[in-house]
Amino acid sequence: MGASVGIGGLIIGMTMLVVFSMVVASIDAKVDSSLQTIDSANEALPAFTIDDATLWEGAVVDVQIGSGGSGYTNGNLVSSTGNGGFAGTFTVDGSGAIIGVAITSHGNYSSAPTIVVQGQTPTSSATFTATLGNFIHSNITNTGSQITPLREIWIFSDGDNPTNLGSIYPSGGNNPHWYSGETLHVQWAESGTLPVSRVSITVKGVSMASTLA
Amino acid sequence: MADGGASTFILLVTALLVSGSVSAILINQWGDMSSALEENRKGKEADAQTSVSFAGDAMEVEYDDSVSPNVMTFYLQNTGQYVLDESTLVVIVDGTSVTSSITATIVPTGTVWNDVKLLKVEVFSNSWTYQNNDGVSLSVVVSSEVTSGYRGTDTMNIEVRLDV
Repeated sequence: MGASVGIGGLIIGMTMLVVFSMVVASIDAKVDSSLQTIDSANEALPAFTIDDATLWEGAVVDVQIGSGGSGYTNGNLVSSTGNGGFAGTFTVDGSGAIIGVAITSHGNYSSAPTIVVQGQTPTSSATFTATLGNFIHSNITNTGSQITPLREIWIFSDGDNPTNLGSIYPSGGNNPHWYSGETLHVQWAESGTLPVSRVSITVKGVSMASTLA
Repeated sequence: MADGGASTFILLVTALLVSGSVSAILINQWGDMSSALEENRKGKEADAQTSVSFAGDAMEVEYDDSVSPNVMTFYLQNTGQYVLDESTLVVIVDGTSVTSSITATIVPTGTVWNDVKLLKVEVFSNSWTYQNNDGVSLSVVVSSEVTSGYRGTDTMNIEVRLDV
């Protein structure tokens, strides 16, 4: 009889232990989940500065190939008029005709410059037509601790014409990021209504603005 | 002795029945409570993962008074983890809801308002008499898409200056 009582007590005790362990496990899971929620809600806000912002109203925004010429090899383009700072590159086809142009520095001019091939003697010369437009140059620095994907950063001119930084920053990488302490030189064509007086940047809900020089 | 043994056995069986019943009730009650806590947690998590912020220049919110009705244009950024539902947008300008007169467009063009897209909001009204550099109180309430059966909600309040 004593053994039966002992076994009975053991069963009761085991039942209570099972209930207790279920309660503890459930509370533990809830606490973990709540802490994760709190952690995600307290993510640090991005911090950054707009070091400078300049509007160039005579930037070369497009170069059209009039005649591709022949006898060229892939090379560089420069401006033969003015000292605005234009620079570009070109690619050729099998006959040495220029078939593609890329602008690497838009420069700033009072009138459209003459674009020429740098340092080559072709069979026949190529011709180009430059188009001037508005370009905004700005240096921005990540002064916070957050690493932010460029595709989550937006640039505005006078509060309008949003431009995604990931689409204009020539980093060459896939899904590039803006690291803590990094300064980016950002430049983009401004197609909105002129004059533009301010530029603003929004990063994860934090916005900062600066007057254009 | 035999009577004593039978009594003890009855007591034991009774104790087992009682403890079994209590355990069953406890487990059942805890299950209900756990379920309620889980529901509550998911709701709270949906709210925590839903966030909307003003994007652009608060000092220069475009306002066009040359057309009728007048148009106020601003941008919102999805700063949360959940995709937001632009159809749930509620806009309040200086304390007056203008929700029935808004156009919301995802920028760049798309159908999903996630964390890499903006929402261009155009608000229309015939009753505004705002002028250049007027300050306006802007409030926006937006909900997320339904995620795991729950919809989070966030509110954004900001004071902006109009640029006519």
